[in-house]
Amino acid sequence: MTTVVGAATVDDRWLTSARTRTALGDLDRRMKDAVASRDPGLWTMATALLDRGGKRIRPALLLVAGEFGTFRPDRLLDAAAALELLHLATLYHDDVLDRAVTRRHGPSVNAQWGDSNALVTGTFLVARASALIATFDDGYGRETARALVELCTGQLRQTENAFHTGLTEAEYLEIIAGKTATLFELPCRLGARLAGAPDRIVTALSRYGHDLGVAFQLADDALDIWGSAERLGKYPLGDVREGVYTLSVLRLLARGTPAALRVRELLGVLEPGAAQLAEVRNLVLRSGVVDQVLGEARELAARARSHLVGLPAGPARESLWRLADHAIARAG
Amino acid sequence: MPGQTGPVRLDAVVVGAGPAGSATAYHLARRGRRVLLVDRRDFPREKSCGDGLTRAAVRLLADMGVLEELDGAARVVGVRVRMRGRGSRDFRYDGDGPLAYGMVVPRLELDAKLCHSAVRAGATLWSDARATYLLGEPGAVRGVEIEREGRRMAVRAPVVVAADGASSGLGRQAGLRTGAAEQTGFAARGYFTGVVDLAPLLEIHLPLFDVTERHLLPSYGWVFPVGGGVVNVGVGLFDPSHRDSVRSLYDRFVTDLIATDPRFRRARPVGRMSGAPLRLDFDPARCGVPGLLLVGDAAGLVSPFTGEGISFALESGALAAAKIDAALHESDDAPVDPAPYARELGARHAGYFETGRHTARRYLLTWRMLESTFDDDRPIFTLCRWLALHPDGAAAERVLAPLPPLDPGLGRALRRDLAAVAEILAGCVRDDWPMFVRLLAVDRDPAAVSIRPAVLLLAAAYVGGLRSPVSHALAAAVDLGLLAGLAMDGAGPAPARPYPGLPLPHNAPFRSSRTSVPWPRAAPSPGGPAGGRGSAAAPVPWGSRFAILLADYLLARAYELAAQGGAAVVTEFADALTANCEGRARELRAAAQAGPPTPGPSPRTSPGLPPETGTAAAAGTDWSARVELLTARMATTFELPCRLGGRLGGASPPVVDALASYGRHLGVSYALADELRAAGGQARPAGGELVRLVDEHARQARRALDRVPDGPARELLHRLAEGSVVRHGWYSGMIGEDAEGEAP
Repeated sequence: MTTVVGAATVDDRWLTSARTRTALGDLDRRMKDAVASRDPGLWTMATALLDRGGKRIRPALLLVAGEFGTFRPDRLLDAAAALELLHLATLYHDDVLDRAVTRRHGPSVNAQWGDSNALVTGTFLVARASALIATFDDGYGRETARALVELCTGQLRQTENAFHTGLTEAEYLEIIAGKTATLFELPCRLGARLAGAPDRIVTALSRYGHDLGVAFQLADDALDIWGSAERLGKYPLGDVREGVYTLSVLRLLARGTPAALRVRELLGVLEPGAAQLAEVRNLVLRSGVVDQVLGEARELAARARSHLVGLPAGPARESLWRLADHAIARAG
Repeated sequence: MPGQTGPVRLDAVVVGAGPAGSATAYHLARRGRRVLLVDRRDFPREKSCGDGLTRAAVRLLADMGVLEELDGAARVVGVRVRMRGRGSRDFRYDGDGPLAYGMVVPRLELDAKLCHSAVRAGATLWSDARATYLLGEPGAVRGVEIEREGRRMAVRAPVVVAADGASSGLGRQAGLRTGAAEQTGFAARGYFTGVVDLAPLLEIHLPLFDVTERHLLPSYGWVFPVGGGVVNVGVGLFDPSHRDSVRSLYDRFVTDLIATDPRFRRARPVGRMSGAPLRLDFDPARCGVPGLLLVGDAAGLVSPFTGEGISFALESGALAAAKIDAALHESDDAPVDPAPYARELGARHAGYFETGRHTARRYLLTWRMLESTFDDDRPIFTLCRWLALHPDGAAAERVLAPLPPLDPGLGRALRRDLAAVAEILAGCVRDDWPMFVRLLAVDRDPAAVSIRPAVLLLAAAYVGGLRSPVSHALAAAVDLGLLAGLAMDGAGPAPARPYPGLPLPHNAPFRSSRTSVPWPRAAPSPGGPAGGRGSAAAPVPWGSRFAILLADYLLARAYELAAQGGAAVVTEFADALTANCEGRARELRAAAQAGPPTPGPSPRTSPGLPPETGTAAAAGTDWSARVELLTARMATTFELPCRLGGRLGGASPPVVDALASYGRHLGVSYALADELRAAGGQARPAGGELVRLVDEHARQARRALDRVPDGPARELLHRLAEGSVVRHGWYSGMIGEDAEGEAP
C-alpha cells in the first residue's frame, strides 16, 4: 500500500481553524531547526522532502486537538514538528522498500542519493524526532515509542505477507491499524494531552484518529485500483505489483469464483507484466469489491465523526469533521 | 517386575521406543525407576529419516553409552549448505572437546541400539504392543491401556511419556494436538549406493522450487553420507499447502542430482523412497498434562530450518527423565506435573521453533532472506545463517570478543544482571523476531561473557555503586542498539571495498574469502516492469528488506526501553544515534568518492552534497578525519553505555564524563583494531599507522580511567583497554564458516 498522503493530491480546505492555520506557518522552521546537523550532506538529504511541501495532516491534527485544551501553539508546534519528522522518516524508508522513484513531485531520496543514504537519513529523522519529544515530560516519549513499535510491527507484517493470497481481511485490517492509523491517532492524543484537555476528550480524539487513519488507508488502497494513471501520477496497481494485496483484492481472492481463480493465477507469476496487471485490475473492478471497500471506508469516516459528537463545537471540531469527509471524498 | 498380567507398580510407561522414548526410558532406568517401554513394532525396523546426527546428538549418545557401539558409523565434521548455483558454505564444528563431530547412522541400526541401551539399563520392553488409550480423567492421566498379543490391559503409572512420533495419538487424546492439520511439513528419503567423492559433511541443498519453477518453496534437500558410497538423500517441505508435492519434489531432486552432480553419475537406488510427517509446532504450553509428557517429535521438536530432530528427541528424553525423577521424589503416585519439564524445554529453545510455528509467513520471510543473502558476508546475515542453519545455533560470543577473566564477585553480579537483561531482550523479540531470542540469551558458557554494550553499561554503573531500577532496561536498550546497527549495515547494497589497503569500516573480519558467482535470477518479465516505479528498478532484495525492517523494529524497541529511563535518557540515546547517523552518512560519501562505480543510483553523481573530506582518510592520509568518523560511528555502542551507566550508578559528573571519554576512545580503538585484523595485520601499507592509533586510543581510554574511583569495575574497564586485549579486536567473527564459489 502506498503511504496514504503521498498517493494523491489533497488540499487543506478542511482546516477551517484559523488558529491552527496560523500556527502551522512556523512548522517548517521548527522542523529545520530540529534536523540541523553538523553534517551538511545529511542536512541536505534530511530537508529534501520537507522543502517540497506535503500536506502536514499530522501536525495539523495535533494542533487542532490542542485546541480542545489550553492552546499554546509554541509548545504544541515542537510536538507537531516531531510527529511530522517521524512521518517523513517512514516515507524515506518506505520509498526504499517500495522502490519508489518519485515523492512529492520530485525524485525520491533513494532515487536521488541511493538506498543507503535514504535509510541513514530516515533513521536520523527518527533520532531528531525522539530528541524533540524528549523536551516534554517522560510520558510523551513513552507513548511515541510505543506508537513507533506498532508502526514497525505493522510494516513487518505487511512485508512478510507480501504475495500472500491467503491473508485474511482481519489480518489486513490489523496491519493497516499498525502501519497507518497509529500515526493518525498519536497526534490527536498528544495534542489533546499537551493542551491539558480532559481524559474524555483525549479518548474521543484518539478514537477519531484511529478510525480516520483506517478510512484514509482503505480509500487510498481503493484508489490504487480504480484510479487512472493521470490521477495517481503513476500506474495503478502499484501495490499489487509489490505483492501488497489490499482489502479489495483479498476479498475477491477469498470468493473462489472463476474471476478469483483467474486473479490468483495471474498473481502467481514472479513479475506480472502490464497486460496481466491490467487484467487483474479489470477483474477486481468488475467484481464489485472496490465499491464495497469504498463503502466501508465511508462507514469508518462516519464512525470517526461520531466520536466528535460530544466535543465542544467550534472551528476545531468543524475542521476534524471536514477532514473525515475529505479522507474519502477523493476516493469516491 | 512384570508378568503377563502387567507390571504391578510402575514409575513410568513410555510409549514409543524411538530416540526420544528410549532416551527417556534409559535415563529413568538409570535412576532406578521402574519403566515399561512400549513400541508397536519389533526392532530393528526401518524409519524414514535423514539419519543425520549433529554434534549435540553425538554427545547425548555418548551420555547413554551408545556411542561406542556405533564405532563403524560414518563421521561428519559439520554442515555444508549449498545454495543452488551460488556455491556453498561450510559450518564446521569447533575443534574443542573430544566429541567435536557428527555422524550418519541409519535409523534401522540407531533405534535398535538406543532401545537396547534402555533395556540394558533396566527398562522392560514390550514390542509389538500398542497403546490404545489413556486412563484416568481429563487433567489427570493415570496410565494407559496396552494391547498386546490380542489382549488389552490397563497399565497404571504416575506418568505416561508419549514418544509416539509426529502424529502422536496420545497427544491428540489428551487434547494437546488437534490432528493432521497441525503437521506442518513432510519429508521423504531414499538410499543410493555407488556415490563417490563424498565430503564428511551433512549436506543441505537450498532452495527448491515447485514444478512450475515460479514459487520458492520453504523446503530443502539433503545428501548425508552413510559411508561406503551409500548416501541418504531426501527432501523436507515445511509448507502444508504444498504437502502433496513432496513426492514430485523428491523425484526432481534425485533426478537433478543424477543428471548434474558428478558424484551421482553411477548412483543406484537401494530400497524404496519413504516419507514421514514433520511436526514443527513445539509449544511449551502444549507438551503435557498432569500424568502425561510429550517428548521428541510428539512435542513438535524438529528444527524448522534443517528438519533435524534426533538431538532434540534425545535431549527432551533426558530432560523429561530428570524432571519425572524429581517429581517422583515428591510423591510416588500423584500424576506427574509437566510444568517444570515444559518450562525448561521452553527456556532452552525459546524462539527457535517459534520461527517455524509462529507464522508460516515469518518463516517464509526468513527463508527469502537466507536465500537472498547467501553471498553476503555482512555480520547480520552471517549471524542469521548461524541462527537458522547451523546445528549449534549462535550466541553473542559468536560475534563479539570475550571479556577477560573477571573478579569473582563482579562476575557473579554481572551474570545476575545480564540474566535480567536477557529476559527483557527476549521479551522484545519473542513475538516478532523469535530467531534472535537464542542470540540474545545470556552467553551459554558462563565463563565466556562477551564485550557487549550491556556489559559496558553495567560495569560503568558498578563504579558509582547505586542500583538503578532502570539499569536492566537501559542495558537491554544499548544491546538492541548494537543489533539494530548490524541490521542497518545489512540494509542497502553491500558496499564495495572503498579503501585500497583498508577493509570495510564496519564489516566484521570474517574468514570466508571467495569469489561470488552471480546467480541467475528469474528471467525479467517481458516488457519491463509495469507501474510507475523505477524503470531500472530491480526488486529490493529480501535481505535488504529484512535488514531495514529489523533495524527499524529494534530501534523502536530500544527507544521504548530508553523511554523507561525518562526524557533525559531518551535525549542521550537520540544524540548518540544522531552522531551514529552522521558518521554513516560521511562514510557513505567517502566510499562513493573513493570506490569504484557502483551499479544503480550513485551518490557520486548526487547533486547538492558537499565533497567528503574523509576521502583523504580513505586514501590513508587524513587519520584525524577517520578517527572522527569512527567516534561518531561507535557512539551508540561504546560511549553511550559508559555515560549512561556512570549516571545510573550515581557517579559524580566528572566521573561520568571520564567514563564517557573512556567509552569514546575505547570504541575508536576497537574499531581500528577490527580494521587492522581484517587487513591481515601490519603487512598492509597502512598497517603501521593503524597499530599506532589502536594503541594511542587505548592509552587515552586508560588515562580517562584515572579520574574513576578504584574497584573491581574500574579494574575490568581498565583491562578491556589494555593493548593486548584491544588488539584482538571486538568482532570475533564467525569461527568456522567457510564458503566457496560454485559455477551455476
